[in-house]
Amino acid sequence: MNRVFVTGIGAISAIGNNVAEQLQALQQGTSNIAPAKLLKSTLKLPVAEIPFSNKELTSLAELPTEETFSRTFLLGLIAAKEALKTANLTDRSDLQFISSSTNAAIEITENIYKNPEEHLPLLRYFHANQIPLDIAKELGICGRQYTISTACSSSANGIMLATRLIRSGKAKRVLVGGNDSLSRFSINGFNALEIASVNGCRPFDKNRDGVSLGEAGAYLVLESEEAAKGKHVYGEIKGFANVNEAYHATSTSPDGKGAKQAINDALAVANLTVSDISYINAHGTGTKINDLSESIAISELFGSQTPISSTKGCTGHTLAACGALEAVFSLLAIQEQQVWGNGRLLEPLTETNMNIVRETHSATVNHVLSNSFGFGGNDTSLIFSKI
Amino acid sequence: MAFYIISSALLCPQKTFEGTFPEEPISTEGLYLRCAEPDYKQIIPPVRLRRMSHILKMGLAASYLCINQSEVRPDSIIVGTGQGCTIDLEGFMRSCSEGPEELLSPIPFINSGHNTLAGQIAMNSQIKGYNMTYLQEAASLESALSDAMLLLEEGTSTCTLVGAIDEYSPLSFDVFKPHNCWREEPVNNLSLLKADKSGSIMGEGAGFFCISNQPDKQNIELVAADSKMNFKLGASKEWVNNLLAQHQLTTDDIDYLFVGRKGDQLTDDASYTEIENLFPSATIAAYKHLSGQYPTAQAVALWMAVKVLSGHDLPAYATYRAGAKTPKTILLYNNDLNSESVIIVKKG
Repeated sequence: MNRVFVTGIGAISAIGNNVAEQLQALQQGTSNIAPAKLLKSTLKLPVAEIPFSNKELTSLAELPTEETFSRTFLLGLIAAKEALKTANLTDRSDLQFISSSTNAAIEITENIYKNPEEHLPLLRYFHANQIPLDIAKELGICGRQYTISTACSSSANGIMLATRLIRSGKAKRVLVGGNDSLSRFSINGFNALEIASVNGCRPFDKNRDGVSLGEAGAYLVLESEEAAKGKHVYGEIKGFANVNEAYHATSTSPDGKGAKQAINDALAVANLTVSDISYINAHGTGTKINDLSESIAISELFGSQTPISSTKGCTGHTLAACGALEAVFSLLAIQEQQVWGNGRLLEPLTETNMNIVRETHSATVNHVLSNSFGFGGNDTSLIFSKI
Repeated sequence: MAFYIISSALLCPQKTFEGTFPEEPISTEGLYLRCAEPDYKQIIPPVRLRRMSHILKMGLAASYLCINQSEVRPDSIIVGTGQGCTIDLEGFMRSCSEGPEELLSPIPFINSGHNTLAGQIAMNSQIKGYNMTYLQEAASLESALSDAMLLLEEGTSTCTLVGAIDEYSPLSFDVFKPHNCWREEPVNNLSLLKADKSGSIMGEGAGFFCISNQPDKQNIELVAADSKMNFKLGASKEWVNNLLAQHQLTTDDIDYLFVGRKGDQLTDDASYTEIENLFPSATIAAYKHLSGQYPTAQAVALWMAVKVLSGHDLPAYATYRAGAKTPKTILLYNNDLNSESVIIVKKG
């Protein structure tokens, strides 16, 4: 069984254009949840928006600014380029590629009914797999490609697949991640489900009132131990698991059964116990139901000592990208030996007693558990370890 | 390690839901074929049927049929869908556009999530293991199958339910228009393969398969499932050859070849002739004149290959070129927009 090392990381979100900026934001406890400036929706709900127009993102992605691209594609490309650069990967002949988004370039397709002429050149983005193919073409990737769509656990599942492919020897190195941009479609969906926050999300807070959507691109380069020889390694992926709660289409079970199963299975794969986990980066979306059931699962398994936080109070919920974005944050926690503050928390929920990290602080971080849960009962846990 | 297809079910424009090749194929004139649907009430509990979208009905029915026939209960679910839940996606997009945004029903939003089907199957059949959805155009089924094989190899699963599904919708039809994918004039599906005009006709369907690490009495082995990005017209012969070699097979071993010919004058020969010539003595089967063209149509070929390996004769209406008589090893090759894929199955 091959060991799986992370040798490259890249990310763009509402709290930074690259990994260095996001690290600084996490250390300073910066949150960027505010009324939308670019997203056109009459709902006027707070979101975590990347403060750049598509044109500005196009130049950040080093593409010709006279051309028009989808925002989701640009976010993915910016992050993927950074990940490849940090991994120093110039020979891409044996690179496999796994990516995800919830609804491809929904931010384009949803406008087709309003302004068909304006959006005609972007009709190609209706194709569910167009963004990954465009990214692959742009980066010269010709190895096997996979696209996963499991709602909010999509890119965590991508990381799990990449890890399994490398462990079994079916891949040597994989570029894996996800991208999603804010859309009227998603914000209306969460609003119609009555889980969109009016006041700005406060994960694990007593008075939380729902999700604030965000947008992000986040990619990682995973390599087998042998392929990574001589390279800087951000961490090892030791544990992973995906299960289905089979409970409800959009809701988590009140007792956190699926979450517990995913965490336990991931620990078993990693051959670790709960006491080995130094920090938990929770899914923590800010909805009443998710945060309560996740906190019940975590309290039951870990008690009240293990530091835990959700970083969605800083970045918003970036849907298909959140698993990869929070994987980057988990690896940064290992690199910096710090645990990240649970952004925007005022008063912790009272039903359980967890050690929620109020402000970023130093800690010994050897193993990080990262949870990502999606609609359709999809629960994924990953474990990142220091080497 | 070997992997076995121990159960299969297919809903497609032909009446395949009864489990065998229909004696006479359905023949209609048009630009697309709709799925021949069973009486869903007989398969899906009626309370669940209410408010269920078209793609969910097709998928749940096919999954039930497949699970019911399987000797082993699947513990994991992997679905591949080329375009996902396009009808509900379009419905919710339209209502967001037309507004008012404040008053939208969440149902189409919930049903537009592309992993809704995999989640619904889990809920209905209480299958609580690994649950994955690939949304990857013509490579979706192949990703799902290779993930299933990896899962079995790891020992995470002993039997995985793999599904491939796509639905016809005005949106999914229009999406392919700029690529000259469709005929301009309605055509009878049974004369499609003459390929005397450009474009094909669209179809839809749901194919489900239980893949196990133990054989049943049919002993049908899933040898390989692979896909490759391909941005130009033509087939990657070398890639197919390498794949055969990887599995200790030669071109002589392939008795039957299933090709994704779809009746398109512009691409059919360029996409398939070279591959067909690799296997000069093989029987060649075609199916897209029966199912229509859709991203995961290769599930139709896989279902047919399983039937043929179980002892059913390949019907004359699906025979494209007569050749070897006894099928032992079958290769399915599909060449589609942006990707090529191969599935190999054999009698164990």
